[in-house]
Amino acid sequence: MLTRRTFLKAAGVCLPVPWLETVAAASEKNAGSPPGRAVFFMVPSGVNMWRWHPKEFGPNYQLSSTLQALAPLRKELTIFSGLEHAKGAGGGHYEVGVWLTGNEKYKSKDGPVEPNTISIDQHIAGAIGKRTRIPSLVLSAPGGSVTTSFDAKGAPVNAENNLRRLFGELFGSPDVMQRLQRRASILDLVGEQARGLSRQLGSNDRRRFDDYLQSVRDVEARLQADRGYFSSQLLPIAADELTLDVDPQQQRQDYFKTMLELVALALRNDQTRIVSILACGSGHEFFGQWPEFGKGTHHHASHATNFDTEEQKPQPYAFLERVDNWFIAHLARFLQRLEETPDGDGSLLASTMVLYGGGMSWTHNPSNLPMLLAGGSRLGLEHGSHLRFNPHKDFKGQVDKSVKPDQTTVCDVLRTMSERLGVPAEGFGDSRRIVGELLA
Amino acid sequence: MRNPGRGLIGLTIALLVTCPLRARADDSAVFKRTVQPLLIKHCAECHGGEEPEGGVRLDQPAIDFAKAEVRSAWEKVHAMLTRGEMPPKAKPRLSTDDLDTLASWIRGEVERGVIAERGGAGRTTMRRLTRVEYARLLEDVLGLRYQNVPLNLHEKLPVDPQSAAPLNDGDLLAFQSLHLKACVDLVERVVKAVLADEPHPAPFTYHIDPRRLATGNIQGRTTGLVGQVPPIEGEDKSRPARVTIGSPHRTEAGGVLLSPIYRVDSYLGRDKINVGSWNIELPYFQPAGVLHLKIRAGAVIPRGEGAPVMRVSFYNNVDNERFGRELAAITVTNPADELRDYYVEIPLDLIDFPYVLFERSGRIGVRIANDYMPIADRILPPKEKGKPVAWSWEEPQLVIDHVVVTGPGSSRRPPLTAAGEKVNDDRKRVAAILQDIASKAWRRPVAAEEVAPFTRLYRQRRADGLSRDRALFEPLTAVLVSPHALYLVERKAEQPAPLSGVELANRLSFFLWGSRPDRQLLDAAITGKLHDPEVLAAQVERMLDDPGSRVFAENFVTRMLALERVENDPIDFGLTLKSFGNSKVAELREQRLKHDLAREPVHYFEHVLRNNHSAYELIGSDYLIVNDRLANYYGVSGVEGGAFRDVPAPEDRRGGWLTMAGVVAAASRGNKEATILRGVYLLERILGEHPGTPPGNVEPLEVQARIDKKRGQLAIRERVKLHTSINTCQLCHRKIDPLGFAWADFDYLGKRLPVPPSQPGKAAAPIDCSGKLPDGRAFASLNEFTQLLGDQQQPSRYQFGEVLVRRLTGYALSRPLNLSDEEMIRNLVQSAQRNGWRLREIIKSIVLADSFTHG
Repeated sequence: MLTRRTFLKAAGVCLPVPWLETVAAASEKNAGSPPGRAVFFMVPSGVNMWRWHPKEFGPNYQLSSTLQALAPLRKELTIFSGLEHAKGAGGGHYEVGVWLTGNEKYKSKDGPVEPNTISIDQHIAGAIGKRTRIPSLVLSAPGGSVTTSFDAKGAPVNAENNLRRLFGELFGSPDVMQRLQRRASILDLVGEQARGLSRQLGSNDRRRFDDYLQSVRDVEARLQADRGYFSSQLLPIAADELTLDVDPQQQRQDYFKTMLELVALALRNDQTRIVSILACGSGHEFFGQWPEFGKGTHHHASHATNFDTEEQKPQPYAFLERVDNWFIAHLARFLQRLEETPDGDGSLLASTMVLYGGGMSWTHNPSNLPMLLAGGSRLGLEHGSHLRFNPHKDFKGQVDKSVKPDQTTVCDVLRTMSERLGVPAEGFGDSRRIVGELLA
Repeated sequence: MRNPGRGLIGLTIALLVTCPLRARADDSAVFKRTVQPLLIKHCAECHGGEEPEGGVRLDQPAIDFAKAEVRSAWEKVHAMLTRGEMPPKAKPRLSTDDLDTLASWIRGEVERGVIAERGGAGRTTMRRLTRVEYARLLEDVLGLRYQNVPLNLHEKLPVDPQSAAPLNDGDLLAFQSLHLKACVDLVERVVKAVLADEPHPAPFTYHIDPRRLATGNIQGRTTGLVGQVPPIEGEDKSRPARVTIGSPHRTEAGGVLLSPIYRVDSYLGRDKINVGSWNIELPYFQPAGVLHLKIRAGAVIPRGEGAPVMRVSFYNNVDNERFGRELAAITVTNPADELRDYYVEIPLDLIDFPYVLFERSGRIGVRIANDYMPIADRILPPKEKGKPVAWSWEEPQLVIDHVVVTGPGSSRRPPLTAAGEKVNDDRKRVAAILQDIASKAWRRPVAAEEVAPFTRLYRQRRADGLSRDRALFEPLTAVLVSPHALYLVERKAEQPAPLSGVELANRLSFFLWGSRPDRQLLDAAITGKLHDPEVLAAQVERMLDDPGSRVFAENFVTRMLALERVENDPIDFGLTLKSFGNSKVAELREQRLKHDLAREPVHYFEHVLRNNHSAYELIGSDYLIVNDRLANYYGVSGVEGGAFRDVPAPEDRRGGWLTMAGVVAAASRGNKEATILRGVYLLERILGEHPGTPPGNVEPLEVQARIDKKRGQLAIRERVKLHTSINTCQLCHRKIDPLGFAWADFDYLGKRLPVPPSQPGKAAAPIDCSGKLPDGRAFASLNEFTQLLGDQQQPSRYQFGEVLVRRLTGYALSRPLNLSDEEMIRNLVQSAQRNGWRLREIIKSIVLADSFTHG
C-alpha cells in the first residue's frame, strides 16, 4: 500500500543536497551566486599586545609574529587597529556579552544575569536563517549560557559544546534518527485522529480546524526531509575520522580541530550560514591551567601585563603569546580548509566572512581590540590591508593623535558584514556607518 | 463628512468592489426596490463614485455579508445612522421610516452573514486552548504540581495573540506548525520527566542543623557558620554537602536569623556572595527527578513591617560562572516560637537551569535567603564622614532552624501508570493507562477502540525491545498533543442544537476555571443532568465557590482593565531616592508594588463575586481590598501582612475600580500627560465602545509641545483642544477627550494630586475634572462621572451594568459580540436588572443563555 508516509519517505530521499527550504533560497541557488555566510569566532581574555598588531598600516604591512601562521592567506584578510565599541563598552570582564551586541549597558560578568540586546549573528539569522536547515549554529567550549549570542529578547542562546551531539544535529546520529522516528510515529497517530475528527465537524469548525491538519503535514514533511537528508551521503570523510568524544578542557587541541572541521562541513553542505564560536569565557577559569604554556591562567596573564614592556613582565607576555599563536594556528587551518573547499566556481572562503578576535587589549582594556576579518571576497569585500581607526596606544605605547577619534566601532564592522549578507542593520548597537574601507 | 474609521472601511470597500453580487434573487429584488434607492438618495452623493468620502462607497449593489470585514463595516454604518451622526447636519435627515428600513436591512443582512459564516446565529466556532490553558491542562493531567515551585510551562509555548477588545477571542487563536512543534517539544519533555524509564538512584538525605556547624569567616569579614555535612546514616559518607551560612545571629533555640538580603549585599548582584543566606552545595548528581527540601522556618516581624519572604534559588557559586535562578518565594508569617516546615519540591528536569555549570563545578548549589523588601520608603540621614550609617529601622528576620534535603528517587506520588497497576495482562494494562490519561486530557469518556491505535504503537515499541515505561513514551505524547487535547472539540450540526453534555461541561469549565471539568461536572454531563437549568445553575455556583474560579477572575479582570500594562510598561515610580539611592532595590520594590497594584482590581472583583454583590459595586463602594503594601500606598494605616482584606476606604478612594491606582496607571501608561490615553481607556474599557483607529501621522501631545514651544506653554485643556481641532480627528476625539478629564486630579501613578497652591492674583482652585459622556451628559468630577455610569433610571448603552454584561458574555463565548447578539444582551440585561445586578446571577444567566448551551 502506498501511504502518504511511504510517499514522503521516497520524496525525502530524493531531496536535493544541500537542504533548501524555501523557493527563495532555491532560486538564489539557481542564479549561480553562492549564498553568503558569516562566522564569528571569539577568543576572549586578551592577547600579547606587543606582538599582535602589525607595525605598519595600509596594504604594505608586515605580518606580526603572532599572525605569521596566516601568511598564506594574507590577500584574504584585513587586520584592524584601533577598533573598539563606543563608550568603552565591554570594559573589563564584560567583553563576551558585548562583542557581538555592542550593548554598552551590559555590565554582567557573572554569567547572563541581566538581559542583553540582540547579537549580530542572531539578527542575521532572524532574517535569512530560515533558508537553511539550521538557522544558526551557536557554539562555545564552555557551553550553555556562556556565549556571544543573544536572542531578540536579550537572553543568551543556549550554546552547544558537545561535539558528538553537534555531529548528530548536522549529520544524523542514532539518537537523532531515533527522535525523528519517535516524532514521526507520534504525528502519524495524531494526524490519523485529526483527519477522523475533521470529518465529524461542522463545515465552519472544519475550516478552522484545517490549521491543525496543515501543521501536522508541515511538521511531518520537515521530519521526512530531515530523515532523507541524513540518510543521503553528506560526509566527504568517514565519520570515524572525526574525534568526537573529546573533552574541551582536557583535549583542547583535538576539540577545536574537530569543532572547526564540523563547522567547515556544515558550511560546505549549506546546513547553516551563520556560526558563532566562543573559545572560553572572559576572565574565565574554564581552561584552568595551560601547563604546556607556562604557569598561571590566561586570565591572570592578561591582568598582569598592565602596559608594561615584555622585558618588565616576561612571564605573562610569553604565556599570552603562546595562547595567541595556538588559536591563530587553529584559525589559519580553518581558513585554509575553507579556501580549499570549492563552492560554485570559487572557494568557500570567498563566500564566507570570518570575524576573529577578542574584546580586550592591554590589561582588560576594551580599546584597540585585536580583531581581523577574513574571507568574503565574492560578497564584495576587499582585503589585504591593515586598517586603523581610532587613536590608540600603538606597539610603542604612543597615541597617534592624527587619527580622528571615535570614528569607527566594532558595530560598524558587524553592520557591514550583515549588510553584505543582504540583512539591513542600520543603527545596530552603536553603529553609525558602513566601513567603506572594507568594500571593493 | 469625514470618517474616523477610514482605514477599516476603506479596506472593506475594496472588497465590495471586487466581490460579485452574491445575494439571492428575491433578496436582491428587495434590496433594489427599497434599500438601494435610500442609499443613493442619502449617501451616494458623498459616498459614491470612484473617490468616495472616507473611502466608504455605498452606491454599489455587490455586498457579501458572509465576510467578517464587510459586516463590521456595515455595523459601523448602522451605528452612525442610528446615532444620528449620519447623514451630516447640513444634509436632509432620513425619515424615521426610511431609517428603520435601512437599519433593519443592515441588521438582517449582518445576521444572515453570521449565520452563513458560523453556521448559525449566535454560534461560536470551535477554538483551540490558549497556551495558558494548555499548560494548565498538562499540569492537571500529569500531576505536575510541585510544592511552592511554579513551573510556568506556558512560557515555553508561542505567545497567543490578544485582540484589542479584552476577550479571549477564539477567532484569533490560529494554529501553525510552530505551535505543534512547540507543543510536541514541551510534551516530550514533561512526559520524559514523569515517566522514569530507569530506576532513580537511591535517594540521599542531608540533615543540616546549624547547631552542628562551626563558626567561621565568610568572605573574610563576616562571621557565620561553615561545615561539611555528610549524608545521614547508611549512605555514602564520602559525599558531604558543603554548607555556608552567612549570618552570625542566632535565636535562643539555636536557629539562624537571616536579615533581608538587600541590607547585607546591597543588591549589586542579588546572588553575589554567601553573606546573609544559607548556601548548601550538594555533591553533583544527575539532574533528573525531584529534589525535596524541607525547611523549618519562622519569622520575627517588627511592628509595622511585613513578613519576610523566603527565597530559594539554584545558585552556581563559582568565580566568573555565577548564575542564579529563583525557584520559590514563600512568605513566612508564623512566629519564631511556632516553627513550621516549608516544603519545596524542585522538579529538576522541568526547571530551565544551565546544569552544565553545576556539572563543571561538581556541586549543585541551593541558596536560601530572606528577600524582604521594605514597604515604606526609607530615606537615609545624610552621611557623616568616618561614621557608619545609622540604620534606625528594625528589619523582619527569617528564622531557619534546620533544613532537610532529600535527593531524587524518594517521590511518593502515585505514578502516571497507576491506572494499570492491578492489571496483569500487559496489553490490558496499557489500554487502561492510556484510556485513563486520554479521558483526562480529552476531558470526556474515551472508548477502548479510540485508544487502540495508541496501544498498537506501544506493542510495536515493546517488540522493538523497549522497556515498559519507555514504550509508553510515544503513545502518551501523542495522547497529549492530540487535537482532542488541544481543541475544545464540539461536533456541531448544520442547525444550532444543544451541545452535548460533555461539550457544555468543557465550555463551562474553561469559562470559569480555565481548565478541564472535574469529576463531578463530567458526571453531571454524562448522565445528561447538566442540561437541566437548575443543575447547570447549581454547578455554576459550585464552580464559583471553588478556588479554581480565581483563574476566571484574574483573566477576565486583567484583560478588561489591561492590567498587564502596570507590570510590563516601563512606568517609573520614582522610588530610587526613597530606597537609599540604590537603583536595584528601587527596581525590586517597584516590581512588588506594581504586582500588587495589578492584583488589587482582581481581588476586588473576587470579593464582589464571592459575596454576590451588585456589579455596580465595582465602580463604587466604601471599602478597599488591600494588603500592607497598598494600604501604605493609599495612606491607610493599621493593615499588616501581605494578605488582601477589606478595609474602610478613605474619602478619595470610593470609586471601586475607578479610584484604584493600578487602573489609573494602566490607563496612563507612564505618561505625565495622559488625558487622551485615559479618554481612550475609559471609552473602550469602561464605556464599552471602540474608540476608532487613529491616523498614523499624529504626534503625541508631549512631542507636539516639544516641537512647538508655544503649545508647550498652553494649559493642558487648550493643548488637547488644539490637538483635536482638525475635523477628521474630532469625530472620535469629541467622545474621547472630555472623558479623560475625569481623572485629571490623579497623577500617572494613581496618586491623588493635591489642590494646587494659590498663585499671585489667583485664588487656589481645585483641579478641573469636568467633562462629558459621548451622549452629551456632563460631569464635574469623577464622582459625578461614576454616578452617570451607575444611573439606572436613564437607559443608556454606557450604563456600567450593561457594559459588564457585554464583556462577560463575550468572554464566556470566547468571541466578539455583534448585532445578532443584541437580543440576547437585551434579555441578559433585563434579567440582571430583575436580580439587582448581582454578579453571580449575571454569570448564571449567561451560562443558561442559548448561545452558551447551544452549538
